[in-house]
Amino acid sequence: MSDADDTSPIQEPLDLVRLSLDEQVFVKLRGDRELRGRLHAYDSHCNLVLGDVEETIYTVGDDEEDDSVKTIKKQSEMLFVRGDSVVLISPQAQS
Amino acid sequence: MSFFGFDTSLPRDRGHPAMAPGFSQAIDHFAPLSNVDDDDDDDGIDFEDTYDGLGDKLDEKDDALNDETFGAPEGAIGKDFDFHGATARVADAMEEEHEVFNRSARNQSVARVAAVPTPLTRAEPPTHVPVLRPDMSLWGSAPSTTPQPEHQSEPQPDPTPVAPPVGRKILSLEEVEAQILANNEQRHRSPFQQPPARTHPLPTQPHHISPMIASPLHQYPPPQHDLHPLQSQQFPARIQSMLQRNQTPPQAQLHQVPEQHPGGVPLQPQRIQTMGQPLHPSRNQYGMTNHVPTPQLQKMTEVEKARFLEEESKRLKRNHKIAQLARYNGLMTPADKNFITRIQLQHLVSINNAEDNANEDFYYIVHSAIRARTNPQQPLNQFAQTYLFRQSARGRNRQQDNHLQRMEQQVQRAVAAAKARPKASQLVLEGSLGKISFSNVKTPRPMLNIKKSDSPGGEPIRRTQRSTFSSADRKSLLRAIENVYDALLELEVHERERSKLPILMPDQQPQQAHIEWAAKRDQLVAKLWKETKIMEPIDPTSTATHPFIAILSYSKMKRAIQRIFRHLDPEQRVTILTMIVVHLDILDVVKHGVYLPDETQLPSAVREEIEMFAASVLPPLLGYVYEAPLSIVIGLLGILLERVDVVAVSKTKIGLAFLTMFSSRAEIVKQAGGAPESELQQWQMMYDRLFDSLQGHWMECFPPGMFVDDVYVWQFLASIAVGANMPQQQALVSAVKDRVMENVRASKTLPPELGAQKSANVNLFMRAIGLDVELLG
Repeated sequence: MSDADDTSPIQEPLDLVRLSLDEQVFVKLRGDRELRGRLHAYDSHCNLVLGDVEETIYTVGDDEEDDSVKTIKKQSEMLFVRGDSVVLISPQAQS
Repeated sequence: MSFFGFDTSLPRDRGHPAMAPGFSQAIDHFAPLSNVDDDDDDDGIDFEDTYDGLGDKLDEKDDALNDETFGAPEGAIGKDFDFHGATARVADAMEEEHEVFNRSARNQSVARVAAVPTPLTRAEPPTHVPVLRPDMSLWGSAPSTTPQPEHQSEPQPDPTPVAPPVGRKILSLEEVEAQILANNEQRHRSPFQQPPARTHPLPTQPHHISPMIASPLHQYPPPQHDLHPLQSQQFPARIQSMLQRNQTPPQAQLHQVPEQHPGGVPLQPQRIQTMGQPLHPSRNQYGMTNHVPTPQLQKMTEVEKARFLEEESKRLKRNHKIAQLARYNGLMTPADKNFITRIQLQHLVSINNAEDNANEDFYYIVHSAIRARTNPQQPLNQFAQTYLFRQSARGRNRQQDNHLQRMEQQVQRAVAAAKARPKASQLVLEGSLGKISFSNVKTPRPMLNIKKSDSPGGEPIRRTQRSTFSSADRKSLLRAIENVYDALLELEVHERERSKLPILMPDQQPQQAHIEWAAKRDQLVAKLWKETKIMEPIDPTSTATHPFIAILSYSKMKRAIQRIFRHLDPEQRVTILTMIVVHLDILDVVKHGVYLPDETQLPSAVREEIEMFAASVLPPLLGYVYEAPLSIVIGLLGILLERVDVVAVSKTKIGLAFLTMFSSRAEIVKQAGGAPESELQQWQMMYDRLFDSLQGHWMECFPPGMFVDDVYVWQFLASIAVGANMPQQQALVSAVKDRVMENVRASKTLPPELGAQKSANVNLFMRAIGLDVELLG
């Protein structure tokens, strides 16, 4: 990176994501999915590699009478997320 | 007209093949010259009459009858050029045809005689037709040529050899024949001239005839000479010519035929050869070389001959090989070759380019290097190699790939030059309303062009950032860490560049490149140093954490310390160590590392951080302290005792690690001797202060719970006990006696391995005071 990087805080949006490298992040995905995990890597397509991920999937019951929201939780040690499904990336304060 | 009314003038010979289709197209360059001769020996009967008839009538439709006209191609015909004997057999038929033709052609020819006076060379009386065959055989190509339509163009090359004799019209046919026969005899007498591979006399014959008939011919011997296997000198030339002819594979292929079947039909290859050499220069070349060897050969002894023949066969073999390979000549266009060359060059560059290699495989290489470190406690300088491995590897291989490197450099220069060539990214066509901009892989067409704010814009932001750093928020801390990494990566890349510098002999003066490299390195180190924020002034009154300590609370910064450390000089290292020691009590791993009263275990996040600190930050610090002089240890411990709550620090793993570090180093220096007495006294004072401040709190060093890992505490106690005097030791033992007994008891109830571990831990301390667990029973 050039010297300008040190002085000017943000050059592009992904520079903000960079700050969250190796930090806990919250990632919202298409298809009613959410991820919480440590951000290991990302690229310009928002492809992500997350570690120690907790994935939450929200589903609505299929039947008409059953419209309750169910949540499914999955735990993954390491996860690659394809960038086209990423809706948002947010830093998460250490809990 | 001595024979069948035949005119011995050579140019006329060429007149005859005009009957063959295709041959009539041949331009006779020497027609005007031969004209003169023809006029001289004008018989008045024939050629003017017959000329037109030949041209008009025989050209096309009579081709099929060539066999009848000239007789079937028999090997016997051309062999010895016994014209009388050979031609007499067909003389009747010839006469007959002659008459028939004469009658039919007379009317027309008479009419056209006046109109066509010049092309005398072609003119032949019909009566001459049969005669011409032997005459053509004189040139070695006619007898079999004419009957075979596919070779009709062969006689074409003949004009050249024929050209010189134009002015010579001295020999009568009888004379010529006599010479030929005599020559034949001579040839039979000289075995050297018999080609070993070809016993067939035909191919060699022309060779002898031509020089005899016309001395000027020596300069233009018939091309058939080329195939004479005995003529050695011409073979290099032929190889050359083959190579030259690479662009024309068909000819080369034909060429191959004679060599594959040396004993086969000899005439065919010769004619092919003739066809394959339309170029006068090459033929001349052959002719020149041809004549030299023959006389030499005849003079050779048997031994020489044998050797010569051996060489000859070798050459033939080689020629054969080349000819076989030549089959594939011309398969690739120059563009194809260029393409392949480019690929090869690219490959070469990427293989030998350390930069590329490291880039492609960087993470794998680093990963495997890290994996290869089985012992995490290895010395610092070894770890340093992890990220600099390329350097040493390059250094070792340097000698071997030196020439490769030179090549690589050349290619790089070429590539750079190509890149430097200004490439227009825009084109303004005349009459167009705008610019047309191109795009390529390297520089995609810019769809948006946003001007980046230059330093004037950036500077104020930085100022504000600095000023607010004391109340640093999380984001600016993270950004500071990223900046550290940027600087670090830049520096590491630059370190890797070192491998590209020429190697310096110890006594050599550093070159310009080295000086520049070192300057750049210093600059980058300075930048990295600045980014760590370590030189931010310590403000004792401020409640805010020092920025360095603040960013050190992030595990990624902890990881970076190890990598930063090896770029720093000793002074900077001690600065870092001091900074950490001064802030030891507010270091996150110490602050959060204290067990709360009802806690038996630290939160997992804290534990992770402590592990990270122990694995990444401590080793370089330890590495430094273990080589530090006693004065520095004393100074650091002094600062620690002065500014930090030692009791609180001693309750944590990291805090104890620092204390252990100092006390054990001092003990080692003390026992090694050689330290100044004043320093030893100073150290003793420091030690006493430390011991006193911890007196009564020894048990607090232990983590709660019986079955936790407490080895670091025993290590600390051991390092303290070693330096303790008698009363101090007694106090120590009485303080931790219960713990010792507990552990010994526990080690007996636990599974053997765990038990052994526990008693070994205790023994660390027991040994330090001269006891052993075994003594406790």
